[in-house]
Amino acid sequence: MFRSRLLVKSGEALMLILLCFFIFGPISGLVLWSVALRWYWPHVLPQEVGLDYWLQALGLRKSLAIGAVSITDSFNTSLIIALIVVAVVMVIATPVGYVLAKYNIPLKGAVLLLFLMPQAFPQQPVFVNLLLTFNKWGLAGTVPGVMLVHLMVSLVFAVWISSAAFKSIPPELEEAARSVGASAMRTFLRVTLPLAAPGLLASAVFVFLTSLDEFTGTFFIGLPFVTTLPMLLYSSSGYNLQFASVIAIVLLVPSILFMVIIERFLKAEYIGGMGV
Amino acid sequence: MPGLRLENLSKRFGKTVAVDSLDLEIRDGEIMTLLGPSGCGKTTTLRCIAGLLTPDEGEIYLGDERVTDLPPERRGVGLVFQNYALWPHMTVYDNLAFGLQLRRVARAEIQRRVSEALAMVRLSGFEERYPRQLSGGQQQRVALARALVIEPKLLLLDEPLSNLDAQLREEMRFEIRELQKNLGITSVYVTHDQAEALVLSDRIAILHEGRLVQVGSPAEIYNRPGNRFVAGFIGLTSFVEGTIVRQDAAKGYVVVRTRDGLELCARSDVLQTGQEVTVAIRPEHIELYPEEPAVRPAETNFLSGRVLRGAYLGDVVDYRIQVGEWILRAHAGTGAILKPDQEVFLTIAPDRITLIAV
Repeated sequence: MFRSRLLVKSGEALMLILLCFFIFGPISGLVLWSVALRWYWPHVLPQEVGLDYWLQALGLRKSLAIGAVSITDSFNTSLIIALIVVAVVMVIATPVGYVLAKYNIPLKGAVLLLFLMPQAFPQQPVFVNLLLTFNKWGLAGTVPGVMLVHLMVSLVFAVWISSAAFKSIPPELEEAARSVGASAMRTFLRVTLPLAAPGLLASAVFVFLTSLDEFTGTFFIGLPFVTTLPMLLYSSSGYNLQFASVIAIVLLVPSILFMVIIERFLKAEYIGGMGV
Repeated sequence: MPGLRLENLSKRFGKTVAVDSLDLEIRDGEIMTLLGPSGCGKTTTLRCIAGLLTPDEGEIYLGDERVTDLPPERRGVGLVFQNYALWPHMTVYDNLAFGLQLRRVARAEIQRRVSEALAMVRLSGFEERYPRQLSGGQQQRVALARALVIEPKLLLLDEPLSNLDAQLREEMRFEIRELQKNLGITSVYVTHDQAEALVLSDRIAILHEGRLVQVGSPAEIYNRPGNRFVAGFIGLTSFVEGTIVRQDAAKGYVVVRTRDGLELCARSDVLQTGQEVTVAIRPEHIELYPEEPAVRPAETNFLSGRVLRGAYLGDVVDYRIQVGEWILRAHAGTGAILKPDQEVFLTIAPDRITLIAV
């Protein structure tokens, strides 16, 4: 009895250690690289550590000795693009998702297919084609152009997730609201929207992270005038592992932050009743 | 409180006719059950009354007001659903207060009415709970309170007890019935459960394939089913087909002969000789004798048959008995259990036999 419990406990402990290893192992490698000033084989740990790359990246020091530049401009560009893309995508995805979930509209399949189209082909040819079009429209190499690309990449998933969020709300909850005197609009605002909120938030976070991470489209449409963080990461990853690690960590921060927020939010009182 | 009148109500979904020119009047303060198998149109009818569906034809009157085209929020109709449909992100208090807030009722008044409504369903003190913290029965009582707190003109209940376990269901039947009577609120109750309908209705409307088949009090429906469908749907019934061959107008009896020569005497004042009829017999109206009685009981139908099989139900044994070419179901006490293939004698009181003109 006692023995089997010990076995279970040690099994759990082992699982935990493995989990930690898989989550924090790769990240700790990044952290280590980001502070390594000198690290040659066969040393297990860096021979010399310092925050030089971090200070350089954050624009607190300007030295030409190490190959790193300030990432603040790129960071701001990335952040602004991501936030605006999230806003625009959610403004589109929320009503579209609602309509797709609640109404049996004709051509429903066609609408979904339309949204899915850009994902159905290999990315590079799509973006090369897009580049030609954007050149004509004067959108190539501009921030709005990059935003449009990010929008295209994330819209289908946002619509998908928000549609699922609305679909998971039993129609009786809305009908009950109507029966006690709420208009269709008020029902949406007071019942439907709050219940769909976790799904919509998840959708928004997904769009934000997609935009922050987006590479291929930005590469074709944005460069050389729009430099987002992934562009900077790409250009330094070949020769400057320390600087690349710094950027990688900076890119990780929002994801982790959002994980914490979502986890907080998903624990809210009413999620337990979502699947009534 | 006003009554409800449905006139020539029809609703189609594509080519399926869900409700077919339904005329029905529900009296002021009455609880009427729409009863029928699934797909009979009872829920569609209820949703039309609530305003959640627009009928293709016909009119709906609530009292003197024509409400056919009013949106649900302007009908003042309380709704209770099978799956409770409480808003999971609101407390019990907020669930009840929502409708009152929309009516711009003063805060103190809302508090008073909410706690009154909760007391009514014996859930005082549950104000701050969330729906998921309540049992199914409690949730359904909150749903009932939410529907009633807005003081609706009409209460609609759509299979409200179907998700509850058997014992609770039985309790809640009485509770709903009592509440409805105390408030005197006109109510429409949809169910497929005949026991539920018999217990809590003033009148029952039987629907079949979108059409109204029979309306009547529970006793009328049970004892005088208007057609074979009703007889078969409410309670257990065995059917025998035949033709009326004789009648005794003075006593109000007729004799039905089946094609295999079986003769049954039944009470009827209206049916005439030569009329083809379906004879409906309830299992509890058949008396069984394992041995031929020395003296044949007078003024009753006396038959002999053979036991096919019996099912022990605890309180009674449900037998299938072959009589001529017909199979009759009979319930008998569990004292002496009859064996398959055993010969058995039956008596059926003529008053207990229902004749349905074909």
